[in-house]
Amino acid sequence: MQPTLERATRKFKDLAVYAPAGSYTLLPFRFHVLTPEKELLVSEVGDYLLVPRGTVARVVGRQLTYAEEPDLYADLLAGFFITDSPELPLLDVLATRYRTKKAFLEHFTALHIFVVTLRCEHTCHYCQVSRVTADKNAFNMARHHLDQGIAHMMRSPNPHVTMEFQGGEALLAFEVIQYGVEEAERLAVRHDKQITFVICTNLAVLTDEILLYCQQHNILLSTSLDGPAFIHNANRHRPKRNSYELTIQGIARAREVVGYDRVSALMTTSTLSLEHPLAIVDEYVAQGFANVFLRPISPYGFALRHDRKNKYATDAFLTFYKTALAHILDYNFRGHFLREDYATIILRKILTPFSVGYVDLQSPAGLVNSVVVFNYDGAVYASDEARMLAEMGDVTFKLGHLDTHAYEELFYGPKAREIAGAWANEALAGCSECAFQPYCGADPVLHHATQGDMYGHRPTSVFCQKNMEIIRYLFELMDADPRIEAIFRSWVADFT
Amino acid sequence: MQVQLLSNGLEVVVDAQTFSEATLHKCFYWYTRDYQVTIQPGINHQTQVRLVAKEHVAVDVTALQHQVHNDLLDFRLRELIAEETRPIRELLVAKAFAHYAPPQPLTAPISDPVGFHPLAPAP
Repeated sequence: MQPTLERATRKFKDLAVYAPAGSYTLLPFRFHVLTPEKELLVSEVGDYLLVPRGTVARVVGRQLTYAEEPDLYADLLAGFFITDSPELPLLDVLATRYRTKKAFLEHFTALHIFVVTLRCEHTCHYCQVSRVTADKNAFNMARHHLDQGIAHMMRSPNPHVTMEFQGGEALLAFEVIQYGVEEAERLAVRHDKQITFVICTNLAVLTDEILLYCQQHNILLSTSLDGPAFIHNANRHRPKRNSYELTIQGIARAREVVGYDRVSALMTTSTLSLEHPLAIVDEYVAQGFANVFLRPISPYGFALRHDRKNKYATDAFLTFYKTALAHILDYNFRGHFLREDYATIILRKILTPFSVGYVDLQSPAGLVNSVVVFNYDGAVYASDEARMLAEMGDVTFKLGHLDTHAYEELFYGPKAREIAGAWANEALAGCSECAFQPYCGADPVLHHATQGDMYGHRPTSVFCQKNMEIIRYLFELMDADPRIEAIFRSWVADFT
Repeated sequence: MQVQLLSNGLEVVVDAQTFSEATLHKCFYWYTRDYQVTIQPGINHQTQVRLVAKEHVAVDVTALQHQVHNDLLDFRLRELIAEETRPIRELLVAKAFAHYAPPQPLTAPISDPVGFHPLAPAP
């Protein structure tokens, strides 16, 4: 008897043919109770799904069926929360996505901060490091230290490095910057490096010659703008109380010579700032910026080792942050593009598949992996916050010294290995189970400074309190109003 | 799960066969900001957990009871997911970073009759 042959056809098959089999396997994911009604599932690669409370229990208990809830079932399959194939055919895809999320590790240290001087003509009350002195050469970086730092930068495996000049007021040592830029440019040709130059400056001592040099050498300028004059001048003390006026004039002149988009500004939230979130946002709009970075004050000094005080400070910052963010969203609702930078960093992690190597919010942490600081005196620190801590007498995060330590000793030495024990949130108590883990990071310096232990205690951590609430709030906003999700997506649209 | 309300906290007795030691520690770790937490394994797989509020904390014991109940169930779910997906997660991370693995030199003599390996003994 001849077997019956099924005739090949190009017609669509019935949908039932593609219906998943009855059973499914869980893939790694974590969940967070977002509100009493909603819970958030986050996969190992950061994909998320917002579902009614109790869904996870049903998924884990195998109470979910495709027949009864095809949409939810399909969402769980598409988001890599479950699989109905025992062979895991998309494991390679998932592994590639995981690797992509960690791509900031691929090239090692990118940001090399050179503290060219500690001298400054400002006396900002939140600054831990600056010195006011008439001696021009005191607290300046010596040329042989600059040479050593540049040599280490050239040894970084990263083909794209950033050489950032900080102070004090970096422009008070402009001749040191000039030497550094030209030496780095010369060596970059030999070492096949792309270098981005940045000068962090309050712009108060800006001259036409400096601006021309920045234009000729393609140098970015990063300044501080804490808000309108009454906030900025109160935070950033200077003889004649004219810091705000000099900053605004400097921004205008720099934009004219160096380029409009090559001048950026950062604000620091002081106690006074907490009362004026709207005025600060309005000031950034008035000055023509398309972004605002709402940064809390670093807890090195006033809040050191006072958990309760930190907690209240973090609560107050979160109230400030949410009010300012709402005001920023209002601008966007009215058709004015304005983004908040901290939210944007987190949203890039949530809404795009790409790697985000922001030093303060990555795992493994940015210390050594992404940033290193060469101090004016030749000391080498694991981050900018680490050198602030050192100025207060705590050298826990000192990697070594340019005079005495080779590249390997600094970047792979015992201190770097010690820090590595606490720099991955995948392996920290509290973080290991947290759904926000792919969006968050680890901060050994902050935990050491505030809790006396670089591993940290999450329930009392200001880092954890701040980031968990901001991440949770961003999801809550997106869930509450689709227009906000559209705005958030526009903030990350140019990120690849 | 047996619950006893205290004036400034709570005492819970749970079945250790349902809630593992790791689950209990992960769950009540988050209470250590506001409570003095004691976890005491007992007989017949019964583990006693005692939460006593720290000085600065005002306690609503009824709300605390509900929170403990929900958190225990959530952390039990987290453990089930982690246990069930551990091999896949390990495989995933291993595959993701396999490219970074340095080449492992051969340390043991192997048979190489065709002569592919230059350091192998001649056949």
